[in-house]
Amino acid sequence: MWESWRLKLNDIYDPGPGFAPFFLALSLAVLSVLALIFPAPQKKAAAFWNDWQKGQSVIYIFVGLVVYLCLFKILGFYIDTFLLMVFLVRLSGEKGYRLPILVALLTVGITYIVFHKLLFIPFPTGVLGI
Amino acid sequence: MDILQGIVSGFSVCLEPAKLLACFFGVLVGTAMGVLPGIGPSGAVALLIPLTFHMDAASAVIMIAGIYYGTQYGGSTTSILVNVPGEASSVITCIEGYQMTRQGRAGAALGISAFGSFIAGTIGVVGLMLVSPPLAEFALKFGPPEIFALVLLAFTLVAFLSSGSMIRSLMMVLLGLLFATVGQEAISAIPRFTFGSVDLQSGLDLVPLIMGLFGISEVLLSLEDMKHEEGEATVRPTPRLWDLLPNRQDWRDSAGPIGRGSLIGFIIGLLPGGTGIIASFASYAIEKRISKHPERFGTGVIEGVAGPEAANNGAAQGAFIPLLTLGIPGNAVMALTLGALKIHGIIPGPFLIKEHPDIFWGVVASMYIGNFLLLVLNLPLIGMWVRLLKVRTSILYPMIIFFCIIGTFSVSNSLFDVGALFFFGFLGYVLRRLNFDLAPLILGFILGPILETSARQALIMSGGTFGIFYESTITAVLLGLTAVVLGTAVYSATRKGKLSKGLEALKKEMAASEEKT
Repeated sequence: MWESWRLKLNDIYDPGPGFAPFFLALSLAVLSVLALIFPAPQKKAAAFWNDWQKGQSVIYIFVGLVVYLCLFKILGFYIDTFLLMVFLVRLSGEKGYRLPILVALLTVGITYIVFHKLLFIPFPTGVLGI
Repeated sequence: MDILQGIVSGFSVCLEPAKLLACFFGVLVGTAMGVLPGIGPSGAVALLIPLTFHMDAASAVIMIAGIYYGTQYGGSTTSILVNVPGEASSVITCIEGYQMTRQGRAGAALGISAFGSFIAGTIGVVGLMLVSPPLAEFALKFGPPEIFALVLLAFTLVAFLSSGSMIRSLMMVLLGLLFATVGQEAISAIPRFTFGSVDLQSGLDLVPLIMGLFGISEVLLSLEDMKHEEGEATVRPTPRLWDLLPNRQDWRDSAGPIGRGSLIGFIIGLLPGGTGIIASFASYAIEKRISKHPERFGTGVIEGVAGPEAANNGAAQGAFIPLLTLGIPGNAVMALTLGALKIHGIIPGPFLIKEHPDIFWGVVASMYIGNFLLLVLNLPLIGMWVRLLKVRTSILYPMIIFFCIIGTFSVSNSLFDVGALFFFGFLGYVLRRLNFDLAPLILGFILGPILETSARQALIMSGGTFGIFYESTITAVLLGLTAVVLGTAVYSATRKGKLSKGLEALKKEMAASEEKT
């Protein structure tokens, strides 16, 4: 709302660039208050706050994806994606490293053939030149 | 071009090998996605949308349409055989379909579901063919004030018909509208909410938004619940091909429900916010209400499979009408289709039939072919679809995340968009965990610029007078309808009338079924 205000509202007959976002944000704030006053029975929503440990794997994935994003330019698409796939397959319940590595290798290999060789879509390479 | 000429040219378009292949691929992959629990039509379309970027616009829509009704089809197979609904609109099929399986009548249930869907799909296509051209002709009378009023009505209906509370759905519409304001403003080109970022100058991209909200969040939710689901589904023996043909009594019992379901589904599909899930629940409720033996519902009656299955397929066809004729997507899948068309530089609306008859009539004709393909393809492949349920989730879920990343990156070659994909993925996860419906958000994001631009254009046209919004009959009717919908919502919230009780019960059942999926 502050940013919309800064963009200038003008008036209702000649709305400025901040007019629509300001009133959208204001309406959202009003509706949020209404939603708090008249809460619908939300079993799942309550569980979200009470049982957040259940979402531990989600936090790990979040961290994994942020790390993937940070290493993208350094390691390049292929190595970074290989590591991400190993991490995700392991996190999804697979024990050991054989299958995660196989899945990651196949994923990266097929991507290279389809996108690089057939569709000529280049993916960024990292410091190792891969 | 009259309807007959149109449909002939449509067939000539969609019988081209590339279009036929797109249709075949769409229904095949759509069915597979529908079989897999958790990946609904919107998730399936969101995941596969990047594949359409290298196609022409007609093939892209033909493929998306195939995926859409393919998922509806696939979802019912697992509902009937293993009591696992592939997607929300097949939840109601579990009630009677699974009971029929337990009584050894899985073949009849699957057969009537396939034939019912085929009949409803065909009726829907005929409706689409007949209703769309006159509606598009009428829509040519729409100027900025009429478009503004129409979008406003669409938002209100979407919020009213969504499975959660109306307040929460309206909040999602507003959030979508706010996301749409990021980037350069359409009229004055002043950048809004870019915070100095060059990547945000052109606004948030649709692809990371939809893939994040539907694809990534779906995986996160599924991973969270994975431990609870393990070992629940027991795969039962699949029926043989000749068991799938319903007998004469089955046909006699199902003819009425299929006819009614097709009609209900088609009409509900026309409404903004009208989805397959609403259609299937409404059809089941009606069949139970008018049945001579309502007490047998829940024990495996074929009417309870035929009606809802026909209704959800009818709704899938009907939903194309507001998109192709008015440019207004009624549900999340149609919003994604609109996005795909925009990527190809095509804006659906009243001019689509005249300017791009190949797309319009090609899509209509492809639905005939798609429905036929579904029938001949899926009956023999039922065993394979059930085996697909055995794919390890530890491989499936990482692959979905990978497809989202590669889909987003290959469109824009931008790391920023991959970051946006993750952001929307987690936002979608949190919102869905808090029971917010994401379809209104997508509609808000896509229709937001249209709403703002048409409102401002209307005000410029009238010199700042609001009279322009109620002077024309069309605008007055549309705004009147919006007021009626809002009034009904307030009435339901304050007074528990028969209608409001019914609506509330339907919404509760739908919310519970979405949770189950």
